[in-house]
Amino acid sequence: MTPPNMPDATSDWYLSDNEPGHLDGHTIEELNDYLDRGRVPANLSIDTSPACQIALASLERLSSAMSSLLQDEADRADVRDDSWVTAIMDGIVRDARSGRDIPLEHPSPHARLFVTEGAVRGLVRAAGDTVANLIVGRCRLDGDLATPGAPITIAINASIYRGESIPALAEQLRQTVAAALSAHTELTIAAIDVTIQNIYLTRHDPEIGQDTP
Amino acid sequence: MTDTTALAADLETAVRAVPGVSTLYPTAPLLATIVGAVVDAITTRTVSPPLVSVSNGHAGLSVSARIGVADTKSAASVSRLVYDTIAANPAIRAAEPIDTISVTVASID
Repeated sequence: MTPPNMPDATSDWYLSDNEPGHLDGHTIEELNDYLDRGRVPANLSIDTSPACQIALASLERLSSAMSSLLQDEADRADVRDDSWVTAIMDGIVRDARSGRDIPLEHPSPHARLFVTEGAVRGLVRAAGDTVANLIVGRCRLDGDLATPGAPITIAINASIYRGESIPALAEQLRQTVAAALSAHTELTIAAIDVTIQNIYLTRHDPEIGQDTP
Repeated sequence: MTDTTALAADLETAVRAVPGVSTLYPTAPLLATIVGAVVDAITTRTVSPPLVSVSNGHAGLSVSARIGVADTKSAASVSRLVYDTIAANPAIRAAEPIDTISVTVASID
């Protein structure tokens, strides 16, 4: 019988850095354009790539978050450092890669069940992006993913809106991500480390039409 | 000898029907899938390359599927359900011995 539930050491995770700016042959700019065109005409290569689909979902959430920025923030673009947006898009590309295969348990000796690292990172990003006033920049799974039950650490970088409580948002992010991972995976989470890397954003409050705070 | 093409098509239908499966991704690289489709066109066969791969090896039949799972269902549970669905398929049971049935969750939507 084929060897037991061990990840394939020749999988894309080990080869992905050959094209560091690409996801299955597509750049983040191409994916952004595809999103802007309403995914028309359909691109089979993008539509059948899980990495591209994860990246597109992240880009949609980022676009939604960006739309809440004030116009005057955009007007100040010439004096503002926009590198955080570029960093988030780079993070989307890195996180969407398939990465390592993480085994899932099944009693049958014939079963080889896995969830990809890219799917888990996509899950973490999606869960994190549901936390109000916060955008996930990058997420990383540290540890031995190939051994069921081995404790791993989740490292998340995020940006938050100016004036928000960093400890409160970080804790909310931890709880949200932990719940999502518990619901979908069998990972043993030793810690979820949150780093708030940027506080660039100004939230628009439509009720009063002003920056807050 | 098992008709792997017909079996793969049968399994694709079964996997798509599993609650929680939102997408079925190709198990082969897209280029190979496209080339396969071209060959099919040249030989006037109209079947699309199956998204569930089935192959015969010396140890028996190997089946492989890459799926997307809806966020409303547990990815781990859905992967086990997909495995159970494939393993319980009458054509698979008739085609024993089984070597491996691989199910990979490639996205959680």
